[in-house]
Amino acid sequence: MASFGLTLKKARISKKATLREIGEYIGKSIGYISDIEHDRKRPPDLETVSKIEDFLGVEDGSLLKLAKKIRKNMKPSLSTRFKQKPKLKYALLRAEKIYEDEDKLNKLLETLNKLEGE
Amino acid sequence: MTRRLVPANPRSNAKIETLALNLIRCYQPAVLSHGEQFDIERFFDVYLEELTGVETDYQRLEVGIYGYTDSDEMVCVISQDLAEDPWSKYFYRSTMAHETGHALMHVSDYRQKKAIIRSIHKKDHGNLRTYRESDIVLYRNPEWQAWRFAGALLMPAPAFEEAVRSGVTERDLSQRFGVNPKFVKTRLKSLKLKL
Repeated sequence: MASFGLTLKKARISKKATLREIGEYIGKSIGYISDIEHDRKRPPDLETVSKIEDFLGVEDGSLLKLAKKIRKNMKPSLSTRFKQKPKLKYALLRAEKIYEDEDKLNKLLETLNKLEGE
Repeated sequence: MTRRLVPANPRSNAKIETLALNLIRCYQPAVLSHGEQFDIERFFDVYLEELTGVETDYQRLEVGIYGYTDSDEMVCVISQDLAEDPWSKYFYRSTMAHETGHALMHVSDYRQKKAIIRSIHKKDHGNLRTYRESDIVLYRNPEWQAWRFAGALLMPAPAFEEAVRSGVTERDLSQRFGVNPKFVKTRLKSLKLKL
């Protein structure tokens, strides 16, 4: 699958636009746009991608199509998963308490491995 | 402690000034004809990679590091914090012009040197020898070259000399060219001009 970041970068360069200009148009920082272009962050929400297409004059909807495809294949972000599964957050926070104790942490991981194998 | 650097190919003042002027004439001639500030951010974001093959990026960097250029990785990076700091616009412009100088002049210098070392010694990796900065002659010092280039790009000699002749202050020059007063002072000195 094509990289969203690279596709965005190509569209931006062909429009001769700076990262700051895109950022200001969608209300995000230069750092955020750079992270997106280098695929360090997932594509923004579809409404934002649509705004970017407007700004860059992308008429074939290629950015939106790509973002949809990528987002469909991606797991939701950790914060979304925590909202959907509050017990997951609780379990992780409990695990953090024993994080410094390597023996206990290994035991916990072994237990998880066993449970996954069941 | 003095830093250690890899010497760059020799470059005179005149050679660096010409490089900067040619870029301005090619990408934004209105800097010379209509008194515009050179749009270094657009040059960095839109043209630098196409021109040099060096990928540009903005990253979170350690405190006190505002940018770097890596000739092995072929990347030129500017600090995200600096780019987003509204109080450091002038310093941001000069840092970006400085790193642009490295990307334009030194990435190819160093890659070529490494290729030669590899071909002579038939090794996979050619490591370049570093020298104490104080032992490198000025015209081969990559930091001096990059700052000289930044000055020539942001304060091009013809426009800068014309502005000085019109009887402006250091502060006026700083605002006119979008750089800090300290950088204006350096440029005045390197062009042997007085206000």
